[in-house]
Amino acid sequence: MKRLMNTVKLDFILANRNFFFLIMIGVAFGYVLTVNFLIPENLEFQGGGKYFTDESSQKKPSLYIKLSGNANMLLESEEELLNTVDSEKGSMGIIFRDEGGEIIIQGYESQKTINNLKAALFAYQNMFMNNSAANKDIQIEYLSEISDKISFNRKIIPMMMATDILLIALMFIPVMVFQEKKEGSITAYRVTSATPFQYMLSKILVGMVLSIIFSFIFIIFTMGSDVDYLKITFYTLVSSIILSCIGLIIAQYFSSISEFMVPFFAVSMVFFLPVLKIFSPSFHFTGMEFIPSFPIMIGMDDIITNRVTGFFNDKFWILIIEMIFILPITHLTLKKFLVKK
Amino acid sequence: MIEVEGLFHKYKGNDSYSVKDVNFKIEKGEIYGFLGPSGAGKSTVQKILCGLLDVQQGIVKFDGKSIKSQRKDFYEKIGVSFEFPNLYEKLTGYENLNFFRGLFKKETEDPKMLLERVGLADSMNKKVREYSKGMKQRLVFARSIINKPDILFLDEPLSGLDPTTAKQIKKIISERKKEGTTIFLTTHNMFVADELCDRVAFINEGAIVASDTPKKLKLKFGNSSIKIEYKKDGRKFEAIFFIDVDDEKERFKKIIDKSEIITIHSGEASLEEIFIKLTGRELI
Repeated sequence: MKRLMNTVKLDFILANRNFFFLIMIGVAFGYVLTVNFLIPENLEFQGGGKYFTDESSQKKPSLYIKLSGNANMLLESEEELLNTVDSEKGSMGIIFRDEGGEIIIQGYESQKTINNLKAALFAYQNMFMNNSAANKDIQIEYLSEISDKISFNRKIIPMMMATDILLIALMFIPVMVFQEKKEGSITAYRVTSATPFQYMLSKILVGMVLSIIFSFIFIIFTMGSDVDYLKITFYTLVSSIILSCIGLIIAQYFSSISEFMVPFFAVSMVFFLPVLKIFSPSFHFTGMEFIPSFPIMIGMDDIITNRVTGFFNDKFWILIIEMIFILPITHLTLKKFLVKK
Repeated sequence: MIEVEGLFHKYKGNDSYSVKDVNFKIEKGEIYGFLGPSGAGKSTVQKILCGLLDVQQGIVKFDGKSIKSQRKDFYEKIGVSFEFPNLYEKLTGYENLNFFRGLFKKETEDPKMLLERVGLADSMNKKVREYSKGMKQRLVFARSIINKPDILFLDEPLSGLDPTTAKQIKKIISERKKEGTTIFLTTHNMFVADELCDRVAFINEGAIVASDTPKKLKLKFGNSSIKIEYKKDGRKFEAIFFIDVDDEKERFKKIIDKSEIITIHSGEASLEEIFIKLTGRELI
């Protein structure tokens, strides 16, 4: 414990003398200003596809859809439509019935989008069924729970949080490692009783504290009291542990920040892919859920929009599993490569 | 205390061995000098002995126990001073020592007292990046003894030091020896080795070419030598000759005939001269 505390103290002194805390506070306030004053509150996203199924007795709507060249968007049954919309994030569905109809949406669409869908459904009904169905006859089904409707500038907060925790882990932690490699102080550390585990834990703690400082400043000044801070804290800490471990592992294979630049950009690009989902909800590829930035961002989004039902959502458990895997891998990598590279 | 048998080491990507069939034993409380020019393999052997490099081939034992089976508390017993200063540059001298002190479980030296002993008391609160090379070297030495080690590895501990500070460091090394510390000292400075070491080993191109006490080595290999200072083509040169060696006699005669002699000194061969005689290399 004494050696761990000593290493932690050293890392915090070094992080401070490298101005990491000041930089983080500055970046957090920069993000706050960006969210509050630069990014507009309203911006419509281009959503995914619109699917249809025809449950009416005369099947007129389906005939019209086929003739208008959208046969591929027409699905056989209500069940198929539900499954398709569920699996294709950002898409929406319309079910035609003799009386009224049903709209299937993800749960995060704007009121404007919902109104447009309702208007489209009315138009179909008027055209084919001579049925001036009242607004109340149209059912709306949300695939995910109804989220708090938040403005666009608040919507990108999870993305900014995920990218910043990523930058702390992939930039600040490796910089500390490279500094020790350049000075050779890591070699001196290696011939003491201190262990690679203590080294790892200490660096992770620095990443965690930097991430918490950033998250709190950013969330307090953008969301105020509209968010569950306990959940944000847990999410930030687990995310920071995973990403710091990744930063530590990669840093072991390189000697300097200039050598590290290529892998840094490569890893960052992969980790930024899930960010595209914010702008294009239909963007998806197999395995995207397991890129750590995905559950971090989507999970944070769930917390910010109060979509988490229990204490944690499924994204949090993905992160916990990733953390359980990556901690021993990081430890083994450090044991093998610390100093020797 | 330390036993090394049939030690070989090859760096990745190199065709030849950096350390070849090295064998020696060091008794408790002994200062064992490992002497050789740069690139001879001295630092590689030290790195293997303190666990920074794996043993590829051969046996290394401490108190009869293989280094491979030593646990982390092995580092409680050893102290290492590196050739190139490897310190936390953004910490002060005092912070550096205090940090390393906190990494050991056992009782340690007082950092302030150590800084005073190596002549750094006035600079203890200065950041290390502001230190000169000599100051850093002293701090690295102080760090190596902070945990009162039983075995001390010193790699060129006096390099870059002024004579007064070097004398102080040598005094501390001698005191440690008296207290029973076993010291493995690598250097290319034969005067330091002659003055401090109980036994020395000459290492050249990764292999030990001779090993004994300095006195015995001088008796065994120290034929009479002549050191000449001469001028040729307007430039000044120095040369050492072992006059009982035929080739050397010829070379000596040639210089006498064709150059302007400035000074001639005769005397007992130094360790440096013996090293040159045995290896044909100078200690640079």
